Amino acid sequence: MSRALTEIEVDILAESMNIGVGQAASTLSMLTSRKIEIQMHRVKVVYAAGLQELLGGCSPGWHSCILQRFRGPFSGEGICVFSVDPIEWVELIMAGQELPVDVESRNDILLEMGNILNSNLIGSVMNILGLCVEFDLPRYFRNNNCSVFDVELQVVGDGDVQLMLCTPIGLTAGGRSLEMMLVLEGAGLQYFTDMFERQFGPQTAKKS
Amino acid sequence: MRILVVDDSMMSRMILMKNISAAAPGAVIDQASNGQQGVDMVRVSVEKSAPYNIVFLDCLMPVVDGIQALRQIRVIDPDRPVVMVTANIQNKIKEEAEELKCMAFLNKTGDSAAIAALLKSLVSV
Repeated sequence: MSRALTEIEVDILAESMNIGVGQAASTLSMLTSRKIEIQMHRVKVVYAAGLQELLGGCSPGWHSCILQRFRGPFSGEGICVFSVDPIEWVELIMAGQELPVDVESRNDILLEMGNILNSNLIGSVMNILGLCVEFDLPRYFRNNNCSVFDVELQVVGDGDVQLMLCTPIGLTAGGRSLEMMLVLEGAGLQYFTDMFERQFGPQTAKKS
Repeated sequence: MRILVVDDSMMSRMILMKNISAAAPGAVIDQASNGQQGVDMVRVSVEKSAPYNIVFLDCLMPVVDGIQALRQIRVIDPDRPVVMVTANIQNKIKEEAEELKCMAFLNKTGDSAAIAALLKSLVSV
């Protein structure tokens, strides 16, 4: 189940995500010393039942993902999805330094990378809204014959929870790629609309 | 120069220490992997009359987070230079850190120029 967003809602969300991902990409560029290309797709609102199709369709054959939950005036999740082994990104980030050989250390690097990207994205969006949220520690999941949707549902539960998903934004550098997604639960969309009305007046954010 | 780096991520500690070493060759750099450990190390350094010249502090950490750690450090040592190095770039977090007199609030980019400028300003004081 899903509904179409109004044009102005799409614009608000897309631009907020643009700014947030721009910040994350800028940080990733500094970390890797590479130019980061950004590909953005359309923003959609889906409900729990629609997430499976959306997330499954976003990243077929995904390798692993890093989820980071945030809590505040509304809750949600930042998600980094890797289509191939993210060790490729670790090699870029650690260029010139000896790569750790043990799995725990490599996972530590991946979790920190996910933390940096998700926090930059979510933090930028919250700054736009004038809100502040708290972050949980990031979690790393390998694809164990399940979809990103299954992983997400482990967190949000499988009830009839309305979710808003801004999907997905690809970041690539030197042949490496990842996708960033932002799941906003419940009142998330309302905060964007209210913020826009405060800035520009009630007419502009009216639904068509 | 004695420097304390507090971050739960080994990667971020390594990147930060690499940048610090490049900007301040010969600096002695200690590490802590969570906020509580960092606070304890600051406390011990003050008790031994050998305080750190500067503390680099992450925000999101297990046990005690960066803001809580900074609050505790201010009780121990109200004027110790502390730099927040965090991916949590929310304005309200920055304001909270500034209220606790953090010297600077850096995004986790491994920005060597910003770190070098900070250390240089510390030496010139």
